[in-house]
Amino acid sequence: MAAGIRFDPYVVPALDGVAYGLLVFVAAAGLVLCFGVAGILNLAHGTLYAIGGYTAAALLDGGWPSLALALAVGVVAATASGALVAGLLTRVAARNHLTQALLTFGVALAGGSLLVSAFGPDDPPVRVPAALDGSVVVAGHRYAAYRLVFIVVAALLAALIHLVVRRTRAGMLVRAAVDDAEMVAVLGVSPARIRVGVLAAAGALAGAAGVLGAPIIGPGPDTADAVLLLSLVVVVLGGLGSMVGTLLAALAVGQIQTLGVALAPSAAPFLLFAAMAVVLAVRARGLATVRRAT
Amino acid sequence: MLRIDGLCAGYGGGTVLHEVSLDVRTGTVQAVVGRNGAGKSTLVHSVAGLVRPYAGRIEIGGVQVAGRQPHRIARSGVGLVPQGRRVFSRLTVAEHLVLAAAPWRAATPGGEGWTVARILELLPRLGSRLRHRGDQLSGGEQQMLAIARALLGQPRLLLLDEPCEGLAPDLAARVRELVDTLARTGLTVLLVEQQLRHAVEVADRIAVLEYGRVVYDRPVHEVRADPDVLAAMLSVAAVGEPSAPRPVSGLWSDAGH
Repeated sequence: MAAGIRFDPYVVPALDGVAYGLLVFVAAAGLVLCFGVAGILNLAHGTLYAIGGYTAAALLDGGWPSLALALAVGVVAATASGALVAGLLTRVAARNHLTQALLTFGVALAGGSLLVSAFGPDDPPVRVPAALDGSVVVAGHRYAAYRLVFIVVAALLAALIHLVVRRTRAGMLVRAAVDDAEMVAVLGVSPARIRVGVLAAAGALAGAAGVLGAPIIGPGPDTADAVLLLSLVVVVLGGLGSMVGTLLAALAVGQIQTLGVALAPSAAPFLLFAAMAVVLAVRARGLATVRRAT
Repeated sequence: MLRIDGLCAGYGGGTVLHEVSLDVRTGTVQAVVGRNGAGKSTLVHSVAGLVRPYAGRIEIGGVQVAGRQPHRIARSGVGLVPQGRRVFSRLTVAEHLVLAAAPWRAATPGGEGWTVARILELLPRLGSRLRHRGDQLSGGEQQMLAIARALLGQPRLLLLDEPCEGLAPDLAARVRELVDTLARTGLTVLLVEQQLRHAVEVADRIAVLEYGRVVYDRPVHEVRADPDVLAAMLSVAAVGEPSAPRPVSGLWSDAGH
């Protein structure tokens, strides 16, 4: 009982950490696919999330139909943008990551400027469906209904990603390409098609995360950078190419960013990166026990 | 089926193959033997598109493919069983077969109609390993899987890069018997071997690569007539694994492994 009382103030931050972590997972999963499968370091990935976020801000009016519309438009727009990035990368895909990083960083800067031009320099408000605008009681605490529902939806998305990677032919291709991309090509599968497919799928995931996560990590001029940074931290912590590792890392990042800050507020500015440094120092491959997509 | 003419290829500007020419007729097994570093794998990789030739022609069924991307060459009917097997370590045997047996492959011109059922009939051992991952298989099982994966691509030309490498003598003998079986189906095979004796068992014609050049290319009956002379002349070691027993009936059966 005493233990329960001691941990009670941290129930809400812990729940927030789960929501935050799952959001970062859905956003970062695409980056893992890009890097692990296509070998592409896509620094425009945060911009794809921002596209979803701005779409949510522009279309959400408090009703369910607007949420469905925003989700459809955001996913399609981010998917198309991901495919566009793949097209731009065609000539440098086989080169080193620095070349890819420079190109995609340029795309991110241009994309960010376009979004600010279109939506303005301020952070736009995001309206969630009215039915989810209130709060519910969880373990004696009031907690935002939208975030609770988001946890369920994001967990379903994570399960869907797992099923697609494990059970579909596309998922088999993804795992095979992580293992030996050259042998996949020898089977008659075009590496360019895989690259476009993976970057488009990564865009779809980032777009969905941007729309659904807009009430948590909202759209704004700094959103793309923040999401990219968090995603990179998750990719590094999780182990490159490992989806299970990505999920563990994202949940850890979520707890560090919420529960960790609640427990040690003075350490908030550097807690995340200190944790990353410790994990890398102790376990350079990241949290995952395997190096390949699972 | 496969005509290589004046092929020069290598890595990073260095030349490994020097004006290599070979003519492999449809339905025959052409063996290429040579010591380590002779350029055998570079030759196979050039045909498969994994190495971009500097010069020369590679024609498959009369179509020039040199310089094409690997997936395009694969779709033109070329299957590769690479050195070291290179099965996908995280995919199960069943997943390998599903991935290799894509629906479009049935339409490959000249396809021999390999199906999963036919593969499992030929290689029953794989049937009992369907749920095992690539990295959970023995070397022999991985070799079976690599061959099955290539066959499901409906190849007209099968490239086998040292398929017996690292296998126990009895398993190596079974691989050679399998190659013989495949050749009887009318498949054209380019077989890279380090052991001259192994090549002589299954090939119709034998070429020797030394320092990236073809220094010998004759029908196998000429080689059989005096293999020691060939070995001595070309410094190709005819030694290696001890003689292996001929496999019993039922290729790669459970009992036989």
